[in-house]
Amino acid sequence: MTDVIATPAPVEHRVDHELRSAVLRPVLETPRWWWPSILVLGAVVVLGIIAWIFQLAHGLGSAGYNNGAFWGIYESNLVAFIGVSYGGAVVSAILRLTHQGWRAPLTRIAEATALVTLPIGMIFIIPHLGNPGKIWELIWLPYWNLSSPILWDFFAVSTYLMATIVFFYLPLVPDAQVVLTQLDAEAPSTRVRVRQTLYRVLVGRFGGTPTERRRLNGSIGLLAIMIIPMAVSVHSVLSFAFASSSRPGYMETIFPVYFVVAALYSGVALVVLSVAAVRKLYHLESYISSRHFVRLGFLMIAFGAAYLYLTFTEYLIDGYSNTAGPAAWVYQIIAGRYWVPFWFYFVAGGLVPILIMAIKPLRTMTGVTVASVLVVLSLWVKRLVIVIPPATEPIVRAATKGSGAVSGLWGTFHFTWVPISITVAATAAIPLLLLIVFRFVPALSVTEMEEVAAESSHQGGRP
Amino acid sequence: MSRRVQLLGSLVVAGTASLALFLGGVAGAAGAGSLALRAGSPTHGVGTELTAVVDSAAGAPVANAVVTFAVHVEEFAGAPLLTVGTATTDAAGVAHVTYQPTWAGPTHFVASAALGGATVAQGTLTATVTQTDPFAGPVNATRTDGLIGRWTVAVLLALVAAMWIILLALVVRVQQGPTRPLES
Repeated sequence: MTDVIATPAPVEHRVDHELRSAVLRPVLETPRWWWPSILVLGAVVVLGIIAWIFQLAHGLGSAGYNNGAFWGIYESNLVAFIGVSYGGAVVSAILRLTHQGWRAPLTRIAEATALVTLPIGMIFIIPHLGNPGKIWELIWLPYWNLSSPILWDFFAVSTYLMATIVFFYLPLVPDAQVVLTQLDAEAPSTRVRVRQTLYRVLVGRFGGTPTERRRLNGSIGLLAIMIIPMAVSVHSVLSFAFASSSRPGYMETIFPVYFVVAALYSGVALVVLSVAAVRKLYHLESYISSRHFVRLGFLMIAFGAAYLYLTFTEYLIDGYSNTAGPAAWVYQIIAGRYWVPFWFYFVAGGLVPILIMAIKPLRTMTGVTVASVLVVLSLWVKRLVIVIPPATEPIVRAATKGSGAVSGLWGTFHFTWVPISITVAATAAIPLLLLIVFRFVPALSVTEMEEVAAESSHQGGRP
Repeated sequence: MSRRVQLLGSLVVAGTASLALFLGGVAGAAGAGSLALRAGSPTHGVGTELTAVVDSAAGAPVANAVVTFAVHVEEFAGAPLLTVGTATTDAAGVAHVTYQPTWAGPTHFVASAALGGATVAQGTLTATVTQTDPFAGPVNATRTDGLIGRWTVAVLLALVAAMWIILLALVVRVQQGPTRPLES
């Protein structure tokens, strides 16, 4: 099995004390900014919950859905949020499997980002269905419809959620042991006892012996191998809900790979943003440098270039077919009623990030962060462009006598305050949950960093 | 294309029951009118022509009235009319649009005529669409279990179950401590 974590570091290694002090402090002591941040972000989330309750009382029409637009922002958010979670997990898995020494300060943040964004994305199924009681019909065995892509979406996403939890948990075990050791040295109090119980549950009977380390490394390696094809298959299945329909714009055989690449592209961008925020908030400048950002930036634009190519391929083939449905849809996106969001994505989410990474003076920590903001924002817009135009394509078509042209009336999705509030709340929930997670879990993988540093010093090189 | 021609050509007009209603009463409306709505024979690859004939209360044709053709849908609450298109009446009080069916079954059409923004007449028609545009919905849908077999579904479910078992086993493997018999 792949030896993902190297042999344990000597305790006296130089990085040991400084690193443990910097990383464990926010876990053992509450930072001053923590509670105000939690309250502000929590208030935004509460606003979203209020908006959802309003929707329950007034129906999906209050969320902008209507006869001419049967799908909208919730479906876009579902794809966007679940997508970014795949990016976080796959980035961590790739870096682990390729033994990249520079991965050590990033993997925990990437895995935590994946862990919090996936459930947020899954929650969008509830407002999307309108009546939350329909969730029961999705999961309860007597109602299973094995011919429905939605049911397989549920299987795939829930399995992937389990994998993400385990992928976050396994590398955490030795770190939980470190935190537990620190807590054992503190004066007993209720807070300390509660935390000790939590970390004892996490650690189990893991003792950190070489045999247990090898077993842990093997498990992480196996999971890193599993999670890549799992992420690819899961996001492919998510695209089936669109691709297996019969509407122009949804019925695309390119969608499975298109969705996967978009997920990786936006996922790496969100990891960059998470890393930037954690680095700043937890004062980890000594461990996360500009070279981490630049390397993530290169990874990001590699996926970005692939995504641009796939966009070109999709529209070229649909437009070239010159069939009434697909060709009309492509026209509406490129030059018709949806040209603004499409070209915003193309320029801000495609060309500008590539230019930032191509021009050396712009290839900085700030430059990569700006590019990542653009990618996350524009890929969300791109998901709207994927979901809404086919949903607003004319359901009935007619031609006025004598005009010769067959056309229909395009529907309009209305961006009311309800879905916008829920979307903003979901976005706020990402940093909210990350702050909560990193209040209990070290933001950097302490043992992994020590081991990589020890391995590097043993080899006489830089991690 | 040939499939589409065949499908559109199979639209059957089951009835032409027309109904004239007075929907005036809006301030400034001059008087009652009537609207007769009918559907023509379907044309291959084009659809079927919906024709509205608008007459005044005195029986004279109403020219330059804007007729809005719509179908009644039940998928959404609140606003059950989905607009098909609009056309202006000629000197004979006649307006047409060509309807391309996108779903099968009994279809309830509604047409309303307006002059100067005020509705002067409305008519309805129920027709039965037997086949539709292939882009619009499942045609002769085949169930997955009939197409690719129950075994495929069983294998996929087994894969999902295997994933869950492996994931749980990994957690147990790491948590079990140093006393694992096979490695001791």
